[in-house]
Amino acid sequence: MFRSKQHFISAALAVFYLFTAISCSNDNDQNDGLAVVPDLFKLGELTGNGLTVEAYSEGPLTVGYHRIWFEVHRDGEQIERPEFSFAPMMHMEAHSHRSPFQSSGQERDPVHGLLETWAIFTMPSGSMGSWHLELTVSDPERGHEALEGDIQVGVDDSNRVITFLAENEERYVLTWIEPTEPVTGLNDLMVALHHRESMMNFPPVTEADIGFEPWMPSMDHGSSNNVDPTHQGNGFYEGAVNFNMTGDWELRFEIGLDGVDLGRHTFELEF
Amino acid sequence: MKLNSLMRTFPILLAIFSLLSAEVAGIQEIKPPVTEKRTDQPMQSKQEFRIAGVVIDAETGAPINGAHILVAESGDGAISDRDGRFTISLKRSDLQMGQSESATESPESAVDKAKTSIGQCKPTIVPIKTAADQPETSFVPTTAAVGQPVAAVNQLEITLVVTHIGYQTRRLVVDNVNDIEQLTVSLVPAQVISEELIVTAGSQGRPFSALYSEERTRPVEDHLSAASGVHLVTRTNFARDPVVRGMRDHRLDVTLDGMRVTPACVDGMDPVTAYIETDNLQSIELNRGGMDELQMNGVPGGSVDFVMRRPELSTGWSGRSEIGFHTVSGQQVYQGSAGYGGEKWAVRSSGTYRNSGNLHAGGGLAITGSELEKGNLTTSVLFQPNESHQLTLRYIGDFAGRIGYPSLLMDTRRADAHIGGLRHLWRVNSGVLRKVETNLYLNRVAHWMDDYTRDVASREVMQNMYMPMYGETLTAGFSSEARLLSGSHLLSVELEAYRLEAFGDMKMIHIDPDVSEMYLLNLGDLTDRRVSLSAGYRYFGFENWIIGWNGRIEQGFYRLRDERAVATFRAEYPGLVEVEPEQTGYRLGLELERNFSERFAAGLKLNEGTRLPGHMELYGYYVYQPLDGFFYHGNPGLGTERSSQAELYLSMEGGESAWDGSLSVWVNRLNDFITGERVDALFKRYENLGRALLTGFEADLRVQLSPGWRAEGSASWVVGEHIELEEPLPMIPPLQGQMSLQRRGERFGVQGRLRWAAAQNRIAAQNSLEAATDRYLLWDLFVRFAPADGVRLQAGVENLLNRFYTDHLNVNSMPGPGRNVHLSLSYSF
Ligand SMILES: [Cu+2]
Repeated sequence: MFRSKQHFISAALAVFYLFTAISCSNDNDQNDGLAVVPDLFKLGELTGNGLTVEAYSEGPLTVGYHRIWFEVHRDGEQIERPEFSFAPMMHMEAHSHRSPFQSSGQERDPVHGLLETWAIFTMPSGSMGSWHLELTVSDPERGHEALEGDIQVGVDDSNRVITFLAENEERYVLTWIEPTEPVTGLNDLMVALHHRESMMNFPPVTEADIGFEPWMPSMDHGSSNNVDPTHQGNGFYEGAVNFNMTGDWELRFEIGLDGVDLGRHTFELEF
Repeated sequence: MKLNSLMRTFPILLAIFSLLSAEVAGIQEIKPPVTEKRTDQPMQSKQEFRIAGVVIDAETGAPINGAHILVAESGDGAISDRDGRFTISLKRSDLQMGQSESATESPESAVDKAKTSIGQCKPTIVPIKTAADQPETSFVPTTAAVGQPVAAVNQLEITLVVTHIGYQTRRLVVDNVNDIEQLTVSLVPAQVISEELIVTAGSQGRPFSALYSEERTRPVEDHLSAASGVHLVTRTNFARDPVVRGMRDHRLDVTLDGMRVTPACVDGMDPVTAYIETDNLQSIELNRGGMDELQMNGVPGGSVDFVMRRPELSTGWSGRSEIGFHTVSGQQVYQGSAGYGGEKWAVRSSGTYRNSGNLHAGGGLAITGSELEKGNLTTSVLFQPNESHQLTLRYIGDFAGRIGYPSLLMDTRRADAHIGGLRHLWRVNSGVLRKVETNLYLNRVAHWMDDYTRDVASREVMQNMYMPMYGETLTAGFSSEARLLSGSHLLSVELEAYRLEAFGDMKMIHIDPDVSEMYLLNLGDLTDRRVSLSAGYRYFGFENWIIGWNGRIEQGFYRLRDERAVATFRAEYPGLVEVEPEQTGYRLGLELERNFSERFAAGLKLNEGTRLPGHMELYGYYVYQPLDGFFYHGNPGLGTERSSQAELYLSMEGGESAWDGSLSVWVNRLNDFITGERVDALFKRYENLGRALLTGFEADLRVQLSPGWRAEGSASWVVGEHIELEEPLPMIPPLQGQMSLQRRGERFGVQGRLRWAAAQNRIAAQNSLEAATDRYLLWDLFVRFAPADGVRLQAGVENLLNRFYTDHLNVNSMPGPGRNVHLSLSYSF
């Protein structure tokens, strides 16, 4: 029952954010003949030099990891292999910064047929600053001038990202990716770990040892048969988490890197 | 009891007297009647001959001990021994004298004669039918010249009258008399229903006597506790849970009139005893270790069957009402029933209502939170279109309000049970097939519990959390048993199938409203289906031996229908191959009994088999066990539990003696013992974990001190050890027993009783939280007074000295009741 209720809430939120997104992006009412991709949430679009770039995500953006899709077309006609790069940028009053992301999406994802990439939003947008998807796009077949610009997106707060200063005086970004919709029983667990080398550079940490335990603080117990996340590539770590009941849970991570203790970090979860 | 022994001795005296008188009369030589066969072998003819045979229960095939066999013509007689055997030696002379006399009498007067002689044994016996009314089918002379044409002139006819308490009297006309070695006489149980609730254990059917056995306002467990070898787990002042030879829960079959009823509370608040009242019952049949009966249980503990009271035919209108009061808890019980018995059908309805305050321990300490309120309604309809067929439709509705469980974390908020069944009894009474009994039943139990009235902030387990729980079971089943009898061969075959559905869930609501509600499935909508075929065989043909075997095969099919529960178990047991296993169990048994005399017998019973895991062991999840403070997870990967049992018994029947008693020594070894294996500080999982060994004895002795007075004593002892864990099994009762002295008269009865238990220091100190318990000794006194017809006043004081004590099987060391003055008044018409 609660699951359908949650669906209802997500749907209501989606509608709400759709309006927000439309109002703050510089799109022109999606009237260029391209149907909105079903199942995806349109973040906005950028037009110039005869090119149009549309950006999509699975839903309204929140702090955390998001898959992002792009489509580029000229006069309503899809460009099969555009030259394309992307980076998220947070503009704040005093400074700007990026976050972990994948720059180019040359591969088309088989489900939607769109150019797929991803980004981790490390903080919410709002009075602190605003998030922009910076884009550079050109059509290699025509060789026209590249389209450069950005799509401003709203990012709502969540508890899925922890940025921390470790004992080694370095900063890291720990992102909890899966499970997104937890169920009773065993769930896939995925986290990402990035090193904040600078405000603009977040290389993946590929050598970390991550210990994991879910915990129910109100009951003071955990569960059995959880699997510690191990590195799968590009800073992404996969394991498994077992929820033996619904309620308030903590996902407790203990991270070590080359003998350095990067500390214990906890995400809270309720379902 | 005085009557009984008189009854037993009278025909013997009569027989001795008649033999003596024959001697005195000096009748020596009378030519024996000669059959065609016998003319060929005249040497075999003799003037003395004997009739030997066996008396059995027509429905169960079980031998009847103590039946009277009387030769109507001569007054010779015998009493059947514990194997139902009897032998009568006769002189032709007596018979021919009798023959000549009876030849001049009308058949009615012959019957009258028999009636008179029996009447002296037992005045309450049902009227004797004439010989013509009786089917001859049970008359199976196997060594006599059956079916041989006999010259009328040689024909000698005798009439045997066979009687026994609780059975319809049988009259057999035996013509062509010669030596008869194997005469099988089957007696049909009389439709006389006892006022007493009779508790029996074993094939001997020996009742355990408590003066309060007619009280219907007492809970059924009070009656059950009179039997040795049965102990009760107590969680509150209600619904005590039977334990037989240290076996309980999934290791013991507790049934209601053959119907399986599945408790709905995952915390054990509602054993079957929660849903029945004494007034629902006729008797309680114990089968300790599952070795006493022709049907074999699939579990090592055996069975407790609560046999329901049936409406009586041909009684017209009847009714009964009883009120009872117990001071120790302020419990009031109101009970009433009414019935009508016609010629072919009868109906009976009854109701019981209980309302109780807090129980008080010895010394006056109130055990707060032990109050209860509940009601029970029963209706049965019996339809008997003819002698062969009987249909009984029965329904029990049991409705509980709040029931406090001070020894547990929670209390029952509400519990409803609807139990219904249809029983068909077909008495064949001819040929090899004797009886077919078929049961069809359906019951639903729903149980709500919570801890809203508890101080959850100050407890250790699940602190700051309310945990409302709901449980529901639906059990539907079918069983059909056929009894076949041929000569000395008795065979029983039973097919049983049942299906159980169970669901249980709980919420955990933190007292801090910011903490979100937690939810889990304790039983994820499972089904447990079983099919079994069992057979039992006994051979009575040897002179001093009875041999027999039992066999059973059972198949279990399990389903877990809620996918959340499936996911939970997949997560809990990553290597699990099959969440919904199919399993097969079997059991085989052997029985051997040797009779040393009419009174003394010894026997050996062996059985070996496997038990299928129960639904709680497979699919229970997060179930708190107050015994060890762990939360238990079921394990769908469990295998069967093997047990090997042996029992050696000695039995001494009363006969003409004032003494009777029995002693059973048994051992039960369990392999792949299903118990909780510790996962961490909080959780245990059911696993097939090594071996357990239990052994013990039950002993009882009765003495008829004088015609009015009777003394009894019983004791039982169980010791259990888990071999790999190297510690005693938890919840094993200590050496304990009862002694009683009673006088039962027609108007007045009195009984003094002593209940005692030794200390129990053998506890599972590492693997449970159980505490050692001290020995105790309690005095009880009961009186019964019948001031007028149908009016009965019963009173008693239990724990006369108001001792503070704790029975070892009381959960969380809950103390036993202090001094209880009890009073009940009944009126029946
Ligand atoms: Cu309960």
